[in-house]
Amino acid sequence: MDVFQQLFISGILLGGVYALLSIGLTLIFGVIRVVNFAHGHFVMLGMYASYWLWRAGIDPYIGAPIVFGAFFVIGAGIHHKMISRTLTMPHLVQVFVTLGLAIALEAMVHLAWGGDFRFVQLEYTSRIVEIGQARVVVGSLVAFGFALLATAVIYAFLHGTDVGKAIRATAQDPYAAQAMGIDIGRIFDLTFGLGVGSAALAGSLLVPMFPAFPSVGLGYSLIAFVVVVLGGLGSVPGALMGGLLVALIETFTAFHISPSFKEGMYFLLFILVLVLRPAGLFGLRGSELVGIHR
Amino acid sequence: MHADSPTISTSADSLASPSARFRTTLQFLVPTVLAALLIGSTTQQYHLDLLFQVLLGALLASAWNIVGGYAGQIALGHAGFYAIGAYTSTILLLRFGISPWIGMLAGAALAALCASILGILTLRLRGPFFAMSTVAFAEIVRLTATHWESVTGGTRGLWISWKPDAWLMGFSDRRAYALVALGLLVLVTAVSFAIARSKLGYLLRAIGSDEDAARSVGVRSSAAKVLAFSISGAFTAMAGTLSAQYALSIDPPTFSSFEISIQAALLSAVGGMGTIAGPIVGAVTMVTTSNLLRSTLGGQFGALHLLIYGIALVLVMLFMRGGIVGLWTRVAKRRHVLKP
Amino acid sequence: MNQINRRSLVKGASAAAVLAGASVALNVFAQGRKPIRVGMIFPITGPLALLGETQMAGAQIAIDIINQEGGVNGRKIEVVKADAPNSQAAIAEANRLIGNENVKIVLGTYASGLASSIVGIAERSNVIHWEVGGVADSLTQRGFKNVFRTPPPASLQGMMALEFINEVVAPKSGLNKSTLRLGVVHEDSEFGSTVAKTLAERSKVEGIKFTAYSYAKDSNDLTPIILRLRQDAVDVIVSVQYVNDAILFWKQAKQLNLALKGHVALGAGHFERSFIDAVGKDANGLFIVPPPVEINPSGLDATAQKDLAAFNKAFEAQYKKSPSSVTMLGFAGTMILLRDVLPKASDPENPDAIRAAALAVDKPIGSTAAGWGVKFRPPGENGGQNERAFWIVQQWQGDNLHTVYPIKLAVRQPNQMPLPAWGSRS
Repeated sequence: MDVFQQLFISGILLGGVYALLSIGLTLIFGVIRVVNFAHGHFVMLGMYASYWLWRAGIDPYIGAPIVFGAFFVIGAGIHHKMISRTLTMPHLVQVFVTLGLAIALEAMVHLAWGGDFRFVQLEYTSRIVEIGQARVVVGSLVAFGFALLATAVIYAFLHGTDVGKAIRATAQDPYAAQAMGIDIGRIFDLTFGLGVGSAALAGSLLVPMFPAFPSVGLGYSLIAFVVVVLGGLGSVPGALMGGLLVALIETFTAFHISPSFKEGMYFLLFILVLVLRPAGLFGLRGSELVGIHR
Repeated sequence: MHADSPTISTSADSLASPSARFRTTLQFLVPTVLAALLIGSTTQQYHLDLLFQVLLGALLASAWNIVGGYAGQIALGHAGFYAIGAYTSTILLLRFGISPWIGMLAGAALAALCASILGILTLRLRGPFFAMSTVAFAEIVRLTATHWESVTGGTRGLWISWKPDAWLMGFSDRRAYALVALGLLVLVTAVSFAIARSKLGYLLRAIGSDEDAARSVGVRSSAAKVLAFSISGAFTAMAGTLSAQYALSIDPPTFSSFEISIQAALLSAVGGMGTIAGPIVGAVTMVTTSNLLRSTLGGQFGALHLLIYGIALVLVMLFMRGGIVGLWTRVAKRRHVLKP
Repeated sequence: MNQINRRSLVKGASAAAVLAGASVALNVFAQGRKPIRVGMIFPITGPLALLGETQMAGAQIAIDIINQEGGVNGRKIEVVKADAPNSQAAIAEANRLIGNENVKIVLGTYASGLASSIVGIAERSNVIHWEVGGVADSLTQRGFKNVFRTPPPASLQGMMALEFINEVVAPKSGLNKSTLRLGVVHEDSEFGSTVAKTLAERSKVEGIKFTAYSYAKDSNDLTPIILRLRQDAVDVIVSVQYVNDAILFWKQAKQLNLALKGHVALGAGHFERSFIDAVGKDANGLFIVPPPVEINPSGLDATAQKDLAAFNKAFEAQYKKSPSSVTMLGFAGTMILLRDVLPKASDPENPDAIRAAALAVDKPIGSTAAGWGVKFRPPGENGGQNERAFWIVQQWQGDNLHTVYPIKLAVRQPNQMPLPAWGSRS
């Protein structure tokens, strides 16, 4: 019984982080209708940013908002200069541009800081806490808490503020939104910035527990894709549910079947969802049929 | 979508005239003969290895081009087919002593089958969704190769003991491998050419341009897409077999890496998708550049060639969507127009 | 002829003879002074760079020492370096070294995976492949006659671990072969899988309960493995891990309070300071099975002692820390080539002569800086393998590594068996 508790609690906590990881991706898709293949690479950059801040004496959790802010700006800039050009171009271009960006980012990090793993060692995050019969690392509790908080904040932002409503309007119907006077170019920049910023934020929360290295980006991208496809592209609650589900499936599979199989699980799940219910649990039905054409 | 037309004439009846047919034959024959001469005159192993890598890259890119360039389907999982080809021929050779030439065909058939199944499963998916499912496919192939130890040798992989026996695709003169690669390249180019000029090619280009519009006028997009995907996968698998025979050892990380999938797409995109010469041009420029970078800078800048790949991809996509061939065509057209 | 003419004739003849002799001698001398070119191929960039570089450093120190002594039979060694971050690069670079640079010896490679891709090239081009670091058994099992491997094979490492567990760890923890539950925790790479297979076979023969636990490289969560180890009540584990998973595993084991009686590590991940820097005092008590380093010099002969001292001195002067076992592999393997093989070859640039010289070497244990002997197996089963190479066992004690087994080469006694609880190790 204690094994089940341990697996369940670990799974839930990991799920929170997976959710935060994926919110950015789902937002960017829902509003701009672009699939950012470099998503995981921004998580990686966030991890490195927090690592270097930590080396400079700043605690990663205190530095997290800084990282978010910085990458929000960077993301908005990338959209403005690069991605916006591709919006009227075929899918292929969008996919390749973000893919090329991912390859270039990984190579840059490798050239700058080498391929070694970077660990952030925080004394208090390694402390162990007992929840029922499960033992968890403080770091994962903090990450989970932060993730829930961030999800709530983003949700509130989207539903409570004018800008947030403008974003949602644009997601529903960009032409109508434009007709109502919304500057959708600016909205897109903002949304992309929000997406990239939250990816980097997720990285900050992960780095006290997991190492940072250049090729970690691809793995996180794949997780984000599975979560977002499962939860439904464009749905924030979907990302949360999807994150929890994927993490639980991963944790239980790793224990009961084999840790090596856990990756296989992702992909099977992925293809199953894509084939059976491509819109995901909460997603916009038919979005995968309509594709991303305007 | 493809404002750029292939570099060869596509009007349906132009091949009827003997002079056009002669011209086309020449367009094929001349580069092939020149390439064969190049291979024949190369004696340094290092240069030969580079030549082989370029030809292999061109083969990969040309195969990808059939589904990615003509049909506009963003396939990012071709490493899966590559691995299927390599493993099929190697396992048949090691277990049953079957010649890799036959094994190559078997691998191609298996890859075509997998491509058909995958294609049918993902028929309704567009753009990035399709891309993601191809990535998932390649990962599943990799995981199978890694964990089905009894058959694939697991992470250790398999190795082939080399005997200089042409029937077993083992050659003491490395130039022979390059010639085989050239032969396959000519084959896939000829097939691409035939497709481009055929009704299938016409259908694929329509799908690539705007699938919904095409369907609305009755194009059976499903069948066409699946067919293109299968042909593409089959040729990619053949490249895998050749590569396995050259390297004499195969293992999952080397033969089903994401980098192979990216390379197949990237070389074609940079050179010019949807054209005959594009993938070849892309391979010649990018493979040579990255090899050169590695041997001259090697030490500190191992990741530099990847950086260049990434930047090239972004820039080409944003500013030069027809790739190098497209740029060339535009420049040539402009000069043509300016001529009195 | 008159007297004067004969004398001048004799003078002329002798002058000519002297000149001829001098020019021949000069030619031989010039030929003799020509350096011997050796190709060196290691991963200097890429994921294996950390350890690849340090092994190459060891090899370079050996070459520097020999060159300072005047070289091999008066000829200095000239190194042609090549970087192989992955297999594809290794193949291209091997072709370049052999084809363009015309070396007749390729020395390398630290990683069995890299070696595996290029031994075929050396064999086909009739060039010697001198492996100083890759330990996968398969390298000497492909029937190639040009491949020589100085360190012991991986299969022996697992055997050494098992021997040590049976002789020392189990008894001291109150266990014997029938009560011991043994587990191997490994990354699913070739090395890890081979070790697991070897241990599985031997355990069956010896009647020991055994389970293997594998995981994918770059996993970011190993708690499922730890939970299973706990559920299966495993007493002692053998691990094959690289730096990152070694650290992750040990940290998560602490988090979940995994109680093990012993941990014997075979992977390079536990051999380096980066391990103890990351996990702190909890690293103490762990055993590792590295190639020889920090051994008791009283077990070595005079030349070997001198070489060992020179090696330590040179490395510490340049890198400001003591050398690791990975570095020692580079040094020891290269020294064997330069001290025991090339000087005896009729032509140090003729692969057939080098091969003959290598097969003729016969030196007892204790005659090299690593404590090994030298005797390469003839072509056939495991041809090219140095039969007199072995592994040793060290233990992290007081935040440092010390050799504890075999007893003749040990500098300290093994302690902390069974392994004390987390937080109370030293």
